[in-house]
Amino acid sequence: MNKQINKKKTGHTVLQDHLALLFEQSPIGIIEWNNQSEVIDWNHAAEKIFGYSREEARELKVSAIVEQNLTEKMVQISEDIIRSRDVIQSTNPNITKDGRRIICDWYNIPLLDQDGNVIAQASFVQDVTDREKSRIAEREQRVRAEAFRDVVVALNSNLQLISVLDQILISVSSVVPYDASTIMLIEGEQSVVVRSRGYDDAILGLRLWLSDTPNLRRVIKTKKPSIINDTHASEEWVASPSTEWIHSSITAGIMDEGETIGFISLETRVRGAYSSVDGENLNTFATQAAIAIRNARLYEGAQKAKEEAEAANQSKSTFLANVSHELRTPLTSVLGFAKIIRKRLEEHVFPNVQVKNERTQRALNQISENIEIIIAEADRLTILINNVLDLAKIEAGKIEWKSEPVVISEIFGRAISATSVLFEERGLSLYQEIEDNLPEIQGDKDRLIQAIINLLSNASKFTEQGSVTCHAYQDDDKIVFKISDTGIGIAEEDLPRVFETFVQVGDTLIDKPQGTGMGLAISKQIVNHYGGQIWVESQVGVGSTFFITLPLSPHKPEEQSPQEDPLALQDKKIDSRGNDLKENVAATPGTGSDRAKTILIVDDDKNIRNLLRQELEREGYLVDEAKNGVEALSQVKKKPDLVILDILMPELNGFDVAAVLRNDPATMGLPIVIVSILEDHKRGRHLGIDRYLTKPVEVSEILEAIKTLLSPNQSSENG
Amino acid sequence: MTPKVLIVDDHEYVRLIIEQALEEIEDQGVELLTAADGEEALAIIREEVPHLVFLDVMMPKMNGFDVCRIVKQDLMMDNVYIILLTAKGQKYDIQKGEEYGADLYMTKPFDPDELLALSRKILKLIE
Repeated sequence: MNKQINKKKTGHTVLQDHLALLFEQSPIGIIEWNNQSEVIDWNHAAEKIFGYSREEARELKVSAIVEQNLTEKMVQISEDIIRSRDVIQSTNPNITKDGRRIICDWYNIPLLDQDGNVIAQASFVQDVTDREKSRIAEREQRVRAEAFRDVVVALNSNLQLISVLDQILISVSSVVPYDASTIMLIEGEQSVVVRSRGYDDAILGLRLWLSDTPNLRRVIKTKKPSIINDTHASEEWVASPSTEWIHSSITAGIMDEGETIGFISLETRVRGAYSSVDGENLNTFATQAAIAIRNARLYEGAQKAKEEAEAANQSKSTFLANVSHELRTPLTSVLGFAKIIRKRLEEHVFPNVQVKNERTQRALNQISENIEIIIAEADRLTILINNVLDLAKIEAGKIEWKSEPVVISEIFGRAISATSVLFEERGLSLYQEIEDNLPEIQGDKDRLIQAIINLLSNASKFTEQGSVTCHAYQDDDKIVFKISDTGIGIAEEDLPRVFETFVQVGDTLIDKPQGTGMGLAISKQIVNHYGGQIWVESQVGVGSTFFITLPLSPHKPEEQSPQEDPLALQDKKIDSRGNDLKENVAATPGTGSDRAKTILIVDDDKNIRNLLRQELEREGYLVDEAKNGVEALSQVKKKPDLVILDILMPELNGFDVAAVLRNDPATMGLPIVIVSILEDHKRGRHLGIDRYLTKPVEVSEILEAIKTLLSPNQSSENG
Repeated sequence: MTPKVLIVDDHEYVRLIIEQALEEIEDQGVELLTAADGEEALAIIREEVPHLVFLDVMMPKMNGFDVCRIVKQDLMMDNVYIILLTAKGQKYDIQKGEEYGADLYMTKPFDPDELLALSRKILKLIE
């Protein structure tokens, strides 16, 4: 093109005219230079870009439109073009006539004569300031975003506060460059360096009096970043030999709810390094630091509260264990002496008292009744202490929860049969309605039965007459137990409190509290453990309906490993006397074998025989009984499938019975389960006893042992 | 040989209850001995070799577990039947008692009649 311009110098052609128009009207600036980098001519677009008219331009050197430090570079480009005769492209900052800094794309070409000599140069130039600015902004934005992302990631990954603050200092550097940085926290009248980068670690813990550091005081006062761009000249800067190298400093406040709680401060050896934009950016990071500090403080607070609560709970458990001990000792005296007095009176005093008048007789009756009351109340106190421990243990999470398949009808049935005597005593009707084919749930049978027993026993206590009705049904994804009574009901204002510990609602002076007031609280704890709900609906004078729902979907309660625990949970157990056995609850599903097996129960205690008979018959076993060793040996001739054997019995003891059985070929393989207070496992093993259980023992344990011993893969021992 | 029963508890009343509860077998010729702490108990056990010991766990000077351990493991006195009396009835204690060789465990409050029946059985006495 340039060649054509040179060629057609002599005569105008259409093309030449058009090219002149193109030169003049091109939206792109066109400049013709001589080889000394002086403007020969430029077009209208170039006038607009640089602000100099065409006439003015003809006087310009390249240095007029480039920054001082770039003049050399431009001259260099020009020389490169002359030498290489090639096109050179560049993007440079330029200066306009009115001193604005713009950015231009340059396309520089050599103008060659016929011999290939560079006679002049031309440039095509375009002002791309806007494009470049947005590109720079974009890049800065990206860098900032990446820096912030790193900080947010650090914030969200539950790192230690120190790690988060370090990440903030690292990320800041890509947005606001520095040579050294610190994060400080205000403590009283001082600012303490907690993290730093670029400084010696010795700076950590350094305390600055706020009164001695004007720039920090200004940040607190104005809540805006402080920028010192020439520390050596600034009155706000406190100089010290170790910070001699610093020329610029920028400090932003770390704010928590409007209060400055610390600072993030950057220093660099470059003078005039920081702008208000840097201040804004630094503020953003300071906000992140504030979040990290607040989170850390909240976490510390929560952690401390948790530890305190745990300690309190622990001391509560210990306290209860001690109280239990301290209470039982006097209780032993009260109950023990009362029982001895009763015995002495019945055996030696009453039979020998000559009743002479009515008053004496009345006194004797009173003494007898009063002693009974003392014993009954002391017994009640014992149960109360056990319940307190029970509840404390659940609350402290120190109970070992079993996870076993639970058949709803079974636990309901067991709870009902365990409490049926209460209803009989009070002449109440008990109706039950259990939906067919309810699905099984996973849980601890004994605990779930306990939860229902408490509701049933509660219903019996507060129902004078009428009936109690039990429903069990499936509602969507949960099992519902519903226990309705026709009792005194509960006032609406009392409803929310019935499941609280030690609360018996209503006027307890009139209503006469029965029980310990902890049954419902225990039930609630159990139900809660399984993610279920418990509540009551009631109308005074009409009755109450208690609901328990248990989710069908497998709720995984936290695995709790049994801990050594100073609190013993007084499980319902067979004690050596066989007392309280009505409350005993078994927890083994029916054996479902083809032929009903016969169990021989050998025990001198009638209560224990009765209990075991009931439980075994409920499981579908046939039961024979023997009350001593001699009877046992004659009963064995009826060929039972298994023997439950007590040891301490009059006449022939259990070990002797076992020895005889083991030595007789006819009974050699007969499974023997010893259930005794005597603990002599060694002797038991010696005699070939199949299972040795020590009282107190849970009925479920006995049933489990029987089930195992009578299961098919064990039956070979029988033959 | 006269059967001997040793009653060990730091609470006087508890010793008294057990003594009174065992009055009937005392009438049958059983000798009742008492001790108020673990050390005293150990001395009497060495000296008298009782057939049966009712042994409190929490006592001054030496606790019941230690008495039990020394008697059963160090002195190998297998023929002394030891019933631990505890106010706690905890699994943990039962385990410890078993380790130390206690023969039986009873929880306070206990029934005097139960104590009597138990003593009879262990001493093989007829009602």
